[in-house]
Amino acid sequence: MHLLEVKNLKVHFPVKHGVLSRVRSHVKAVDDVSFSIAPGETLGLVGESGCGKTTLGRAIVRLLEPTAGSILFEGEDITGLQGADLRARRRKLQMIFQDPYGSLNPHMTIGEIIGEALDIHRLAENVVARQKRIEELLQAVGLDPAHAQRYPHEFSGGQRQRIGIARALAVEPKLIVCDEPVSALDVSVQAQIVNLLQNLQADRGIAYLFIAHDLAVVEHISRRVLVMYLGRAVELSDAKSAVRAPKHPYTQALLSAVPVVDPDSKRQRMILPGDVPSPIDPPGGCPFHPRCPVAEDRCRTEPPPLREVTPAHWAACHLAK
Amino acid sequence: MPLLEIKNLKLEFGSGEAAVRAVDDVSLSVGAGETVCLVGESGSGKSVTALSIARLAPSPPARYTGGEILLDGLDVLKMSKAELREIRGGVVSYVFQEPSASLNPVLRVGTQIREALKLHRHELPGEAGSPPPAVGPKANDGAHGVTRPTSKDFDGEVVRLLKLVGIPAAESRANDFPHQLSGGMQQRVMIAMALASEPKLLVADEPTTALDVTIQAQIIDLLRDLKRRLGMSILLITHNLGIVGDIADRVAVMYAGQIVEQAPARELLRRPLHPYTQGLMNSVPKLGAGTQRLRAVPGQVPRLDALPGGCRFHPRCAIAKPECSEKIPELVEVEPQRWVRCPFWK
Repeated sequence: MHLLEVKNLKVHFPVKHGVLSRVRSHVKAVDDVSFSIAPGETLGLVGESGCGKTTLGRAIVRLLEPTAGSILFEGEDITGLQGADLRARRRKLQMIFQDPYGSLNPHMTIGEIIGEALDIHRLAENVVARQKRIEELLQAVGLDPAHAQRYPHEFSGGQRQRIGIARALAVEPKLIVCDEPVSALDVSVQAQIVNLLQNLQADRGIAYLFIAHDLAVVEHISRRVLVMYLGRAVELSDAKSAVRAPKHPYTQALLSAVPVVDPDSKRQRMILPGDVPSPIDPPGGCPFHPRCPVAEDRCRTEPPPLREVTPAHWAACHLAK
Repeated sequence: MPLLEIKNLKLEFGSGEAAVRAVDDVSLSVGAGETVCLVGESGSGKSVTALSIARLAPSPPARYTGGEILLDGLDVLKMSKAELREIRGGVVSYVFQEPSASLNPVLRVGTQIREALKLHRHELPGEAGSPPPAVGPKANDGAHGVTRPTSKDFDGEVVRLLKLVGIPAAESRANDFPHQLSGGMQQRVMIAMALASEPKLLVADEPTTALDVTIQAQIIDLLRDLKRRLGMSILLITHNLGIVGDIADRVAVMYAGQIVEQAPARELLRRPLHPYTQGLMNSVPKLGAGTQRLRAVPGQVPRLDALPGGCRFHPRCAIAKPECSEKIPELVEVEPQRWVRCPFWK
């Protein structure tokens, strides 16, 4: 059974205008996206800024209200849950944020930050058990348990990201939505966090939705990859074939734009013209057609559905083979 | 003689006991028409080094405590304020990381480029030596008795620069405000502005870090193309080793204020010699390499006010020996063109 199943999810934001704040149009941040995650699996979510990947992540944890579609967690529809029911579900569904500086309360010690999660979900029987649990969690993410009395500003970026991970782990979640967890970190520290996330997954069987713009990191950590462009899913496959044999021209371009360290690579560069169009008024037909090097007439009028091009490899392109 | 030669530069912030040395004995040269990359993590001193070239590091708190910076044969550290004003945005121009923070939000981009032109071009393009045509009223520069061109005369040049950096519909775009442009377009405007003075050296400090990968590829391509067409030199600051492979002729790696390795780019990427450079390269997952484990560098970048004794990398180094904590190793040329600050690099 799937741990998480997202069906035809839409998140639209109204664009208001004028004195009466009339809704003029909508930003279709996430438009009809479906996918699933199995227990203990990592699904990578890739795309450029403005493609809707963070909105999708937040909608799954129910930090944003979906406009349409459904989110099934362990077979139960959590789309409309409120209050205590939602809080009970959130215990299984945690999130790690991109900015390790902005996501920790500067007035709380890290012991309090992690302890708060235990208190809300009543996971510690008494003060002694609570303290012991905080120390265990700090140890699990590679921090010194004696540091529980310190404040976030006393830690480096990489250490703060570890604190954020410990806070998410405190409630023993089954799925963690990781929103660009390593983008703000120094290169030599990124690898430590990636390795830590992989160790925790191996030990505890946690599933990840790993959101990032760096394809190399996503390929490294994920079993399957979902590529988004302008709010739509354009490609979904296992990580290896997404990188070695991408079907969608956007994925191909994204891959060829990643600078490679190997000086001897004889890679064909494919540089996309133009910018990502505004999601308020996306191009008709295939949203990628104005930048696509192989676009045909029908791409301008007919939106391509996400279809299974080869077994278990899905792409939203009329021309994909 | 190279276009830029930095010799044993030392730069400190603060004074007395509290002084921290952000740049320690850095020597670096950039030849005419050459692209050099300066690579390092946050706090390595790469940006301060780049700012020092035009003495842009705010002083105080910064103090230049030693060394020389020769730009086009002139010592920048001995220049007067007037001379500095002349080289800033003149011989050397800068492009910074965050284009939206570098552009003035209340001025049209064309106006901002025109400002750079007015400051640094004393003659209209293509008319060196001949008097400017009689278009519009001329401001009279009394001191030298030379008639300088006015803003309007530069309209054509503004459009030419915008076209040069690949902005479509340049005539109408010149009238846009910065917020009307995307991040990639804003960075192109910054580059156009930097090119206004026809600089010999373009210093680009993380010019693509704030941009998406597909836009990053466009900007790197643009820089490479401009360098070839205009014959200028580029000093590019980055933390991304992939960009080094895409654009650099030579590369210097900085760690905690010091250069730890310097080499031709291809050779460094093929065979890094310093344990820190090796660690950096192993930390980055390679596309298509599958899911083998990353070999992370343990620990974290030291703070400048709490530097370890001896080699600054030794607490994180896999091959550190007891003597590494005693003495700072010298930067030694171990092979032709290859400099390494580690006695145990073999």
